[in-house]
Amino acid sequence: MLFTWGMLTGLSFLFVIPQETSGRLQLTYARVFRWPLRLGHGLTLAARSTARPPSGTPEEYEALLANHRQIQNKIANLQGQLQDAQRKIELLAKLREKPGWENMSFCLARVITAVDPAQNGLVIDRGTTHGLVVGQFVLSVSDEGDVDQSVSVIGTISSVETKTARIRLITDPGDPKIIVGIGNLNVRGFMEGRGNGTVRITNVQRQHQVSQGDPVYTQKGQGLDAPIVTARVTQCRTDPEEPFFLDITARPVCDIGALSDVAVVVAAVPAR
Amino acid sequence: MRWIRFAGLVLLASVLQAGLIGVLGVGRSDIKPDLLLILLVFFASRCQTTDAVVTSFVLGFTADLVSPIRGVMGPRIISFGLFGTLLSDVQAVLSVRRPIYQGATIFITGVLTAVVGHLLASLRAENVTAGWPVPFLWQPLYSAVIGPLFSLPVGWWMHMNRKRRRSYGRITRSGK
Repeated sequence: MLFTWGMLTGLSFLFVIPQETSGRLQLTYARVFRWPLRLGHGLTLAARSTARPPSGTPEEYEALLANHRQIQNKIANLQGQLQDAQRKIELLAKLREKPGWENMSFCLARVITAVDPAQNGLVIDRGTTHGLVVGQFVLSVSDEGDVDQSVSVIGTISSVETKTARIRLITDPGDPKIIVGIGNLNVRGFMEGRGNGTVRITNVQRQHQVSQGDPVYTQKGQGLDAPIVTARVTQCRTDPEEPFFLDITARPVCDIGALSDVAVVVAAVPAR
Repeated sequence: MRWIRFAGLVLLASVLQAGLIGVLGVGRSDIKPDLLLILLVFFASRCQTTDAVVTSFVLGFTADLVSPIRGVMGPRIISFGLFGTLLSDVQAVLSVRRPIYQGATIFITGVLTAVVGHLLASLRAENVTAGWPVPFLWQPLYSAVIGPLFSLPVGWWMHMNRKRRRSYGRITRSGK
């Protein structure tokens, strides 16, 4: 009899009693015993969160390890790129702090080849794909932040390929000549390289007082929005060939041999 | 039969089954033992027939409350009651006191109750056999392995650890 009653009860729950009622019974049970159930669930989760031996075959484990190493390498490379990008941002920010430079666009480039004394040039890792054209000015960039010794004009772009470019340094004896000013003087001289690491400034009349150590600025209007220091006067004398003019010798302010990064002023170059 | 102790034991087993048994889970499918199945075999093999029927249906009802098949109540009431009653009749012929026999009984009972329960549940719900190896094979096997370990503590709690004495005739000293 008990068996029959039990079977009838089971069949009632299965076919007669609505599933909502059954669900309410189950929820009532969970509500009545919610404290021990919650405690047990928490203990179960805590036990599972502790170190469990990895399941899977040894091959799967090795594959996971290799994947982990690859991910670590990717992270390291991305961190390197991030640091490089942050450094470039700092350099660019430093350039833009100079008044009159706000509208100038710069393209940072790395020096690929060291200075070749015979050719007086540098090769950088930027080219036409980065907006470089012949005639653009190239600035030196350093981390010291000193205006006199960090940022200065070192040359111009002389030839451009797709992804590389060649810089003609200011000390290069070939054309073209760069228009410069000296100190506070209202003069416009022409700077040309001598080929021995120095530059010569011509077209400065004799009545102007030029002293040793005076800064030489590349004048704006040649693709630059502001004058930028380029060299310092080392010698000033009367030109023996033209007695009404001075023969000024200057040396670049930047140690070009120690350069690793340069900034190209990416601007339209006016016709000369 | 100590029914109050039985009620406490069933409540404890249900709370453990619902909340804490996950600690014993193994494998990716999280295979867990069925404590209520272990109790079913224990009481069905040790109690008188009437008590075995009642305990079987009560354990089935509790199993449907704690872990219903696809949320349907009734299948485990029927399957537990049916096989608990059958086991109670069988234990009069076969003794399942030995641990290895207990384990085998738990496994077979677990497989049978799972099959019948899922068959009945399929009358009211769909896709009841998803993940089929676990309830039909691995869970009964896991329960069979650890089930005999619970015999002593449960028997102590229910005061059922004393051996049954067969009712033989008494022999007097005189031999008559």
